[in-house]
Amino acid sequence: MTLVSISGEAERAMVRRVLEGDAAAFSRLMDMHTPWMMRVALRMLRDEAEAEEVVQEAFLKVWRSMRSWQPSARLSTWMYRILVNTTIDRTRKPQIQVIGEEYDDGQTIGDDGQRQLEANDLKQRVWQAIDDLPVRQKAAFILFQYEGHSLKEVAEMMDSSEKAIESLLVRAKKGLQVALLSKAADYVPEAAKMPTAVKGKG
Amino acid sequence: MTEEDFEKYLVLYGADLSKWPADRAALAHDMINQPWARAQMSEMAQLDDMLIGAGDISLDDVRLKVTKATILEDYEAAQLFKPKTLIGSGLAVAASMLMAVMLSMNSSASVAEGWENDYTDFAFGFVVDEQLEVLQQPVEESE
Repeated sequence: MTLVSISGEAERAMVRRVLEGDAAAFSRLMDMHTPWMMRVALRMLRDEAEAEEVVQEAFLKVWRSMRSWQPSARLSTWMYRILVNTTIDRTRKPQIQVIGEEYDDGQTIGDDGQRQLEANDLKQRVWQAIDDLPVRQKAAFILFQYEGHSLKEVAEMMDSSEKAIESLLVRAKKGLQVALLSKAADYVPEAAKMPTAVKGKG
Repeated sequence: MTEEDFEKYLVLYGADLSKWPADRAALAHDMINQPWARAQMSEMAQLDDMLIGAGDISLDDVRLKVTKATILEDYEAAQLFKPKTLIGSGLAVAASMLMAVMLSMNSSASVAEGWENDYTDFAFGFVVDEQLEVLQQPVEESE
Protein backbone atom coordinates (compact mmCIF):
# COMPACT_ATOMS: atom_id res chain seq x y z
CA MET A 1 0.00 0.00 0.00
CA THR A 2 1.35 3.41 -0.92
CA LEU A 3 1.04 6.65 0.92
CA VAL A 4 -1.72 8.99 -0.22
CA SER A 5 -0.68 10.23 -3.66
CA ILE A 6 -0.78 13.99 -4.05
CA SER A 7 2.02 16.26 -5.19
CA GLY A 8 4.08 18.13 -2.61
CA GLU A 9 2.89 21.48 -3.98
CA ALA A 10 -0.77 20.45 -3.86
CA GLU A 11 -0.24 19.15 -0.33
CA ARG A 12 1.28 22.46 0.81
CA ALA A 13 -1.54 24.43 -0.84
CA MET A 14 -4.12 22.29 0.89
CA VAL A 15 -2.46 22.75 4.27
CA ARG A 16 -2.38 26.53 3.69
CA ARG A 17 -6.10 26.57 2.94
CA VAL A 18 -6.91 24.44 5.97
CA LEU A 19 -4.93 26.81 8.17
CA GLU A 20 -6.84 29.75 6.71
CA GLY A 21 -10.06 28.10 7.89
CA ASP A 22 -11.24 26.70 4.56
CA ALA A 23 -13.72 23.99 5.63
CA ALA A 24 -13.89 22.55 2.09
CA ALA A 25 -10.11 21.95 2.10
CA PHE A 26 -10.35 20.37 5.52
CA SER A 27 -13.16 18.13 4.29
CA ARG A 28 -11.03 17.03 1.33
CA LEU A 29 -8.13 16.32 3.68
CA MET A 30 -10.45 14.09 5.71
CA ASP A 31 -11.70 12.25 2.62
CA MET A 32 -8.10 11.45 1.71
CA HIS A 33 -6.88 10.36 5.11
CA THR A 34 -9.76 9.16 7.29
CA PRO A 35 -10.12 5.70 5.66
CA TRP A 36 -6.52 4.61 6.29
CA MET A 37 -6.55 6.21 9.72
CA MET A 38 -9.66 4.21 10.65
CA ARG A 39 -8.11 1.03 9.25
CA VAL A 40 -4.91 1.41 11.27
CA ALA A 41 -6.78 2.41 14.44
CA LEU A 42 -9.18 -0.50 14.05
CA ARG A 43 -6.32 -2.94 13.58
CA MET A 44 -4.50 -1.54 16.58
CA LEU A 45 -7.51 -1.33 18.90
CA ARG A 46 -10.00 -3.84 17.47
CA ASP A 47 -12.86 -1.75 18.78
CA GLU A 48 -14.82 0.48 16.40
CA ALA A 49 -15.89 3.07 18.96
CA GLU A 50 -12.34 3.39 20.31
CA ALA A 51 -10.95 3.59 16.79
CA GLU A 52 -13.35 6.41 15.92
CA GLU A 53 -12.37 8.36 19.02
CA VAL A 54 -8.69 7.91 18.31
CA VAL A 55 -9.10 9.06 14.70
CA GLN A 56 -11.03 12.15 15.81
CA GLU A 57 -8.43 12.96 18.44
CA ALA A 58 -5.56 12.40 16.00
CA PHE A 59 -7.20 14.54 13.32
CA LEU A 60 -7.64 17.45 15.70
CA LYS A 61 -4.02 17.10 16.81
CA VAL A 62 -3.05 17.19 13.14
CA TRP A 63 -5.00 20.39 12.58
CA ARG A 64 -3.81 22.08 15.78
CA SER A 65 -0.16 21.33 15.11
CA MET A 66 -0.33 21.76 11.35
CA ARG A 67 1.82 24.89 11.47
CA SER A 68 4.68 22.77 12.80
CA TRP A 69 4.50 20.34 9.84
CA GLN A 70 7.69 20.47 7.78
CA PRO A 71 6.99 20.11 4.05
CA SER A 72 10.22 18.09 3.75
CA ALA A 73 8.24 15.14 5.15
CA ARG A 74 5.10 13.78 3.49
CA LEU A 75 1.97 14.96 5.24
CA SER A 76 0.66 11.40 5.45
CA THR A 77 3.90 10.17 7.09
CA TRP A 78 3.59 12.93 9.66
CA MET A 79 -0.11 12.06 10.17
CA TYR A 80 0.77 8.39 10.60
CA ARG A 81 3.16 9.40 13.37
CA ILE A 82 0.46 11.39 15.16
CA LEU A 83 -2.07 8.57 14.75
CA VAL A 84 0.33 5.87 15.94
CA ASN A 85 1.31 7.90 19.01
CA THR A 86 -2.34 8.65 19.81
CA THR A 87 -3.21 4.98 19.41
CA ILE A 88 -0.28 3.84 21.55
CA ASP A 89 -1.37 6.30 24.26
CA ARG A 90 -4.89 4.91 24.06
CA THR A 91 -3.79 1.26 24.30
CA ARG A 92 -2.02 2.11 27.54
CA LYS A 93 -5.38 2.97 29.05
CA PRO A 94 -7.02 -0.16 30.45
CA GLN A 95 -10.66 0.36 29.43
CA ILE A 96 -10.49 -1.16 25.96
CA GLN A 97 -12.66 -4.21 25.59
CA VAL A 98 -11.82 -6.32 22.59
CA ILE A 99 -14.91 -7.41 20.71
CA GLY A 100 -14.70 -10.74 18.97
CA GLU A 101 -16.93 -12.28 16.34
CA GLU A 102 -19.58 -14.26 18.17
CA TYR A 103 -21.38 -17.35 17.05
CA ASP A 104 -23.84 -19.85 18.47
CA ASP A 105 -22.08 -23.07 19.42
CA GLY A 106 -25.31 -25.04 19.55
CA GLN A 107 -26.32 -24.21 15.98
CA THR A 108 -26.36 -27.00 13.38
CA ILE A 109 -24.01 -26.05 10.58
CA GLY A 110 -22.82 -27.58 7.32
CA ASP A 111 -19.26 -28.11 6.08
CA ASP A 112 -19.01 -24.56 4.73
CA GLY A 113 -20.28 -23.19 8.00
CA GLN A 114 -17.79 -25.31 9.91
CA ARG A 115 -14.95 -24.03 7.75
CA GLN A 116 -16.15 -20.47 8.26
CA LEU A 117 -16.23 -20.95 12.02
CA GLU A 118 -12.72 -22.38 12.01
CA ALA A 119 -11.50 -19.52 9.84
CA ASN A 120 -13.10 -16.99 12.21
CA ASP A 121 -11.64 -18.77 15.20
CA LEU A 122 -8.19 -18.81 13.64
CA LYS A 123 -8.54 -15.12 12.78
CA GLN A 124 -9.45 -14.39 16.40
CA ARG A 125 -6.40 -16.30 17.60
CA VAL A 126 -4.15 -14.42 15.20
CA TRP A 127 -5.48 -11.06 16.40
CA GLN A 128 -5.30 -12.12 20.01
CA ALA A 129 -1.63 -13.00 19.45
CA ILE A 130 -1.06 -9.61 17.76
CA ASP A 131 -2.82 -7.88 20.67
CA ASP A 132 -0.53 -9.62 23.12
CA LEU A 133 2.59 -8.12 21.48
CA PRO A 134 4.23 -5.14 23.20
CA VAL A 135 2.58 -2.03 21.80
CA ARG A 136 5.51 -0.73 19.71
CA GLN A 137 6.08 -4.17 18.20
CA LYS A 138 2.38 -4.31 17.41
CA ALA A 139 2.37 -0.86 15.77
CA ALA A 140 5.47 -1.62 13.68
CA PHE A 141 4.07 -5.00 12.68
CA ILE A 142 0.68 -3.60 11.58
CA LEU A 143 2.26 -0.78 9.58
CA PHE A 144 4.71 -3.14 7.88
CA GLN A 145 2.67 -6.30 7.45
CA TYR A 146 -0.85 -4.98 6.93
CA GLU A 147 -0.39 -1.39 5.75
CA GLY A 148 2.44 -2.46 3.45
CA HIS A 149 4.92 0.28 4.34
CA SER A 150 8.66 -0.14 3.91
CA LEU A 151 11.08 -0.28 6.83
CA LYS A 152 12.13 3.29 6.04
CA GLU A 153 8.54 4.56 6.06
CA VAL A 154 7.70 2.75 9.30
CA ALA A 155 10.86 4.19 10.87
CA GLU A 156 9.74 7.72 9.89
CA MET A 157 6.22 7.10 11.11
CA MET A 158 7.41 5.81 14.46
CA ASP A 159 10.17 8.40 14.77
CA SER A 160 12.79 5.68 15.03
CA SER A 161 15.70 4.19 13.08
CA GLU A 162 15.36 1.48 10.45
CA LYS A 163 17.53 -0.82 12.55
CA ALA A 164 15.29 -0.35 15.57
CA ILE A 165 12.18 -1.06 13.49
CA GLU A 166 13.81 -4.13 11.97
CA SER A 167 14.51 -5.38 15.47
CA LEU A 168 10.90 -4.68 16.57
CA LEU A 169 9.56 -6.55 13.54
CA VAL A 170 11.79 -9.58 14.00
CA ARG A 171 10.80 -9.84 17.66
CA ALA A 172 7.12 -9.33 16.81
CA LYS A 173 7.06 -12.03 14.18
CA LYS A 174 8.97 -14.49 16.32
CA GLY A 175 6.49 -13.82 19.10
CA LEU A 176 3.63 -14.57 16.72
CA GLN A 177 5.38 -17.68 15.45
CA VAL A 178 5.64 -19.04 18.97
CA ALA A 179 2.11 -17.98 19.95
CA LEU A 180 0.35 -19.17 16.82
CA LEU A 181 2.13 -22.21 15.56
CA SER A 182 1.97 -23.94 18.90
CA LYS A 183 -1.80 -23.31 18.90
CA ALA A 184 -2.38 -23.94 15.24
CA ALA A 185 -2.33 -27.75 15.30
CA ASP A 186 -6.09 -28.02 15.92
CA TYR A 187 -6.87 -25.91 12.88
CA VAL A 188 -4.12 -26.85 10.45
CA PRO A 189 -3.35 -30.55 11.02
CA GLU A 190 -0.18 -30.40 8.92
CA ALA A 191 1.20 -27.82 11.32
CA ALA A 192 1.77 -30.46 13.98
CA LYS A 193 4.01 -32.37 11.59
CA MET A 194 6.12 -29.35 10.58
CA PRO A 195 9.67 -29.13 11.87
CA THR A 196 9.91 -26.20 14.24
CA ALA A 197 13.52 -25.12 14.05
CA VAL A 198 13.12 -21.67 15.57
CA LYS A 199 10.15 -22.34 17.86
CA GLY A 200 10.86 -21.02 21.31
CA LYS A 201 13.63 -18.64 20.22
CA GLY A 202 13.55 -14.89 20.97
CA MET B 1 25.00 -14.46 4.68
CA THR B 2 24.97 -15.91 8.17
CA GLU B 3 22.23 -18.17 9.48
CA GLU B 4 21.16 -15.33 11.76
CA ASP B 5 20.83 -12.92 8.84
CA PHE B 6 18.96 -15.53 6.87
CA GLU B 7 16.52 -16.06 9.72
CA LYS B 8 16.05 -12.32 10.20
CA TYR B 9 15.17 -11.75 6.55
CA LEU B 10 13.01 -14.84 6.55
CA VAL B 11 11.09 -13.40 9.46
CA LEU B 12 10.88 -9.91 7.97
CA TYR B 13 9.94 -10.69 4.41
CA GLY B 14 8.50 -14.19 4.74
CA ALA B 15 9.47 -17.39 3.05
CA ASP B 16 9.02 -16.13 -0.49
CA LEU B 17 12.49 -15.07 -1.66
CA SER B 18 10.97 -12.97 -4.43
CA LYS B 19 9.77 -10.56 -1.72
CA TRP B 20 13.27 -10.13 -0.31
CA PRO B 21 15.57 -7.23 -1.20
CA ALA B 22 17.55 -8.44 -4.24
CA ASP B 23 20.99 -8.39 -2.61
CA ARG B 24 19.71 -10.38 0.39
CA ALA B 25 17.89 -12.88 -1.81
CA ALA B 26 21.09 -13.49 -3.80
CA LEU B 27 23.06 -14.09 -0.61
CA ALA B 28 20.36 -16.40 0.73
CA HIS B 29 20.31 -18.47 -2.44
CA ASP B 30 22.98 -20.92 -1.23
CA MET B 31 21.20 -21.51 2.03
CA ILE B 32 17.70 -22.32 0.96
CA ASN B 33 18.34 -26.00 0.29
CA GLN B 34 19.82 -26.79 3.68
CA PRO B 35 17.44 -28.87 5.86
CA TRP B 36 17.20 -26.38 8.73
CA ALA B 37 16.54 -23.57 6.28
CA ARG B 38 13.82 -25.55 4.50
CA ALA B 39 12.17 -26.28 7.85
CA GLN B 40 12.21 -22.61 8.75
CA MET B 41 10.90 -21.54 5.38
CA SER B 42 8.06 -23.99 5.68
CA GLU B 43 7.09 -22.70 9.09
CA MET B 44 7.35 -19.06 8.03
CA ALA B 45 5.22 -19.77 4.95
CA GLN B 46 2.59 -21.26 7.23
CA LEU B 47 2.75 -18.23 9.54
CA ASP B 48 2.50 -15.88 6.57
CA ASP B 49 -0.64 -17.68 5.38
CA MET B 50 -2.20 -17.30 8.80
CA LEU B 51 -1.32 -13.62 8.99
CA ILE B 52 -2.53 -12.86 5.47
CA GLY B 53 -5.78 -14.72 6.12
CA ALA B 54 -6.44 -12.59 9.18
CA GLY B 55 -5.51 -9.32 7.51
CA ASP B 56 -8.65 -8.33 5.63
CA ILE B 57 -10.65 -5.65 7.31
CA SER B 58 -13.89 -3.97 6.28
CA LEU B 59 -14.70 -0.40 7.09
CA ASP B 60 -18.28 0.59 7.76
CA ASP B 61 -19.05 3.45 5.35
CA VAL B 62 -21.79 4.84 7.56
CA ARG B 63 -19.53 4.97 10.61
CA LEU B 64 -16.81 6.52 8.47
CA LYS B 65 -19.20 9.29 7.40
CA VAL B 66 -20.27 9.88 11.00
CA THR B 67 -16.64 10.10 12.08
CA LYS B 68 -15.87 12.61 9.32
CA ALA B 69 -18.91 14.71 10.26
CA THR B 70 -17.85 14.76 13.92
CA ILE B 71 -14.31 15.82 13.01
CA LEU B 72 -15.66 18.58 10.74
CA GLU B 73 -17.91 19.84 13.55
CA ASP B 74 -14.91 19.95 15.90
CA TYR B 75 -12.91 21.82 13.25
CA GLU B 76 -15.66 24.39 12.71
CA ALA B 77 -16.14 24.85 16.45
CA ALA B 78 -12.39 25.26 16.87
CA GLN B 79 -12.43 27.99 14.20
CA LEU B 80 -14.51 30.12 16.58
CA PHE B 81 -11.72 30.09 19.12
CA LYS B 82 -8.83 30.90 16.76
CA PRO B 83 -6.84 33.99 17.93
CA LYS B 84 -7.81 35.95 14.81
CA THR B 85 -11.49 35.22 15.39
CA LEU B 86 -11.19 36.02 19.08
CA ILE B 87 -9.46 39.35 18.36
CA GLY B 88 -12.17 40.20 15.82
CA SER B 89 -14.94 39.30 18.26
CA GLY B 90 -13.17 41.24 21.04
CA LEU B 91 -12.92 44.33 18.86
CA ALA B 92 -16.58 44.05 17.91
CA VAL B 93 -17.63 43.74 21.55
CA ALA B 94 -15.39 46.66 22.55
CA ALA B 95 -16.85 48.81 19.75
CA SER B 96 -20.41 47.93 20.83
CA MET B 97 -19.63 48.80 24.44
CA LEU B 98 -18.06 52.10 23.44
CA MET B 99 -21.09 52.93 21.34
CA ALA B 100 -23.40 52.06 24.22
CA VAL B 101 -21.46 54.26 26.65
CA MET B 102 -21.48 57.16 24.20
CA LEU B 103 -25.21 56.83 23.65
CA SER B 104 -25.90 56.67 27.36
CA MET B 105 -23.75 59.77 27.92
CA ASN B 106 -25.65 61.66 25.23
CA SER B 107 -28.92 60.53 26.61
CA SER B 108 -27.95 61.52 30.18
CA ALA B 109 -26.92 64.92 28.93
CA SER B 110 -30.27 65.41 27.23
CA VAL B 111 -32.20 64.33 30.30
CA ALA B 112 -30.22 66.69 32.48
CA GLU B 113 -30.63 69.45 29.98
CA GLY B 114 -34.32 68.77 29.67
CA TRP B 115 -34.77 68.77 33.42
CA GLU B 116 -32.79 71.99 33.70
CA ASN B 117 -35.01 73.68 31.11
CA ASP B 118 -38.14 72.43 32.82
CA TYR B 119 -36.88 73.75 36.12
CA THR B 120 -36.03 77.14 34.63
CA ASP B 121 -39.44 77.32 33.00
CA PHE B 122 -41.07 76.33 36.23
CA ALA B 123 -39.02 78.72 38.30
CA PHE B 124 -39.42 81.53 35.83
CA GLY B 125 -43.07 80.80 35.43
CA PHE B 126 -43.55 80.87 39.18
CA VAL B 127 -41.77 84.19 39.45
CA VAL B 128 -43.84 85.69 36.64
CA ASP B 129 -47.06 84.30 38.08
CA GLU B 130 -46.16 85.65 41.49
CA GLN B 131 -45.38 89.05 40.06
CA LEU B 132 -48.63 89.08 38.11
CA GLU B 133 -50.52 88.14 41.23
CA VAL B 134 -48.86 90.97 43.09
CA LEU B 135 -49.58 93.38 40.31
CA GLN B 136 -53.19 92.29 40.10
CA GLN B 137 -53.86 92.88 43.80
CA PRO B 138 -56.09 95.92 44.37
CA VAL B 139 -54.16 98.84 45.58
CA GLU B 140 -55.40 99.97 48.97
CA GLU B 141 -55.88 103.67 49.06
CA SER B 142 -54.63 105.43 52.09
CA GLU B 143 -57.05 107.53 53.96
